[in-house]
Amino acid sequence: MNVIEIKDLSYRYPDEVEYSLKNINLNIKDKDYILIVGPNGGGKTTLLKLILGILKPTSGTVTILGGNPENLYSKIGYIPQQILVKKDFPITVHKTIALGRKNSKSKDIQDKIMMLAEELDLKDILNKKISDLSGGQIQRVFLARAIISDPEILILDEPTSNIDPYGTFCFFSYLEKLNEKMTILVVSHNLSIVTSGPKSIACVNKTLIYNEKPFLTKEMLELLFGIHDAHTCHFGQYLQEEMEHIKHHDDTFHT
Amino acid sequence: MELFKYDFFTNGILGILLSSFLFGIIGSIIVINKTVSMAGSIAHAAYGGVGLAFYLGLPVQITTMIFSAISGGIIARISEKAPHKIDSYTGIIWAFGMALGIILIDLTPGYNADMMTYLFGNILTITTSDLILTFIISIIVITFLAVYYNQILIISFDKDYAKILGYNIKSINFITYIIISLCIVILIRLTGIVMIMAMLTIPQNIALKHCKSFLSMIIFSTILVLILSYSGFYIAYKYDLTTGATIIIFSVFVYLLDAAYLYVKRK
Repeated sequence: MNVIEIKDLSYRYPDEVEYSLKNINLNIKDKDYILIVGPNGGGKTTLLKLILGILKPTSGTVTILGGNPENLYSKIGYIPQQILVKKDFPITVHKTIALGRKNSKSKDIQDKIMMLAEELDLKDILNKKISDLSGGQIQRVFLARAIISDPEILILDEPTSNIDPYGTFCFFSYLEKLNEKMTILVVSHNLSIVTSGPKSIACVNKTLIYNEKPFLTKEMLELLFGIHDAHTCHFGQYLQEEMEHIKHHDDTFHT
Repeated sequence: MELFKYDFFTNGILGILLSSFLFGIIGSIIVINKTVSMAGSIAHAAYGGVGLAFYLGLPVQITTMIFSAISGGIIARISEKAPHKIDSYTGIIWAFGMALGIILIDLTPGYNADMMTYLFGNILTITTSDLILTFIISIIVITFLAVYYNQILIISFDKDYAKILGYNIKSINFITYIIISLCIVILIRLTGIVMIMAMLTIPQNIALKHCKSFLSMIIFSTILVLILSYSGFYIAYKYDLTTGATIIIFSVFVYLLDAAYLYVKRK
């Protein structure tokens, strides 16, 4: 079953002549774990905002769980880029997580917050202000907010920025666990995330190429780097081999 | 205590008390949303409403309220439709409102001494009907905050997430701007435009550094407005200075003192 269906999607920002995204087609299956990579300005975040229903397509359609993204409220969990978080805002960790659910006054929400705080190691900082946290802690707080309503789809925008390597490793290990219960979509410009658990990959640079396995194809490398000669293909091959090497090393580390 | 025998003094004290609630709530919303320039635009554009009232011979308070509510509505709409251009548009509305007010006053026959009161306010000229109107607006603002607290919080903190959760951002933004506009008109009459900008930002920025939650920020900044205003009021009376300006200078002094304290504490 497809949880996300994108058909002939194009988007152009108001006042701009060029399209940010053109003729995008993508079907994401239930419990998939997809990494969407692409260069800065390639349209990754625009695609994400169209999937979330924050932007409306210029043409084409986005269907989430068979419906319109604007009417799916608690079925999508979302973690924004840390750069967009208002870090001087007067709000505690506890309140931030509680606000992830529309009816934040319901009785079971306290138990759920405590459970998530335990799982994500947030227990000791529940009463701290967001501005007093490290990048890794903020990321876990936003993960807790995103999953408190038990969403069916979890969307993350540039999740590795501002986290140290160990924090990144723990974060992605938790995402793999979550993937048993929900579909995960990670948007990043960081290609190395491909070794951290995604099952499939899509490259976006105005248009989109999808591979249902977590490997970059030659076409994807052409789309990302925009050159077609033998040297680039050779570089692409090198990059591919490097990634497979990293993945193998990672698997060994896991076992 | 002798001063309380005079109505103007008692009204002034009550005016500060009531306006502190408005400053505390509205100022906190403005500061956490980083929309001080938009509030400044609404406040200055209100002159257009004053000018219109004088020119057409209409009730000043009501006409200015309607004029400011329209300005606030336009700003809310622009912030929704073209957020990247809001800074420029607020500047245009700011200048246009003031210029319109001045031109309309020029065209009004006779000298309008009252204009100065509407432009610069005077805490000592507050009437009982001003106090009643401020009380009614305060009740509306407190009710609005109580009903929409979580919505205001999530929209201010993370607008995209609020949208994903299905909150009606457009409506809440629109109501917020209308309420901010009404409050600003009342506060112009009570305290004047310069003191409005000071009391909507200085106490809230002190509170922001010390408070963990939005609610505690509102309460703390309301108390700060009271303390700063009454202290300034007393200093002005004691040394025969202009009340509004004294309150502002004293507030900036306290702000700098707090900043120095936090700097030393961090070291």
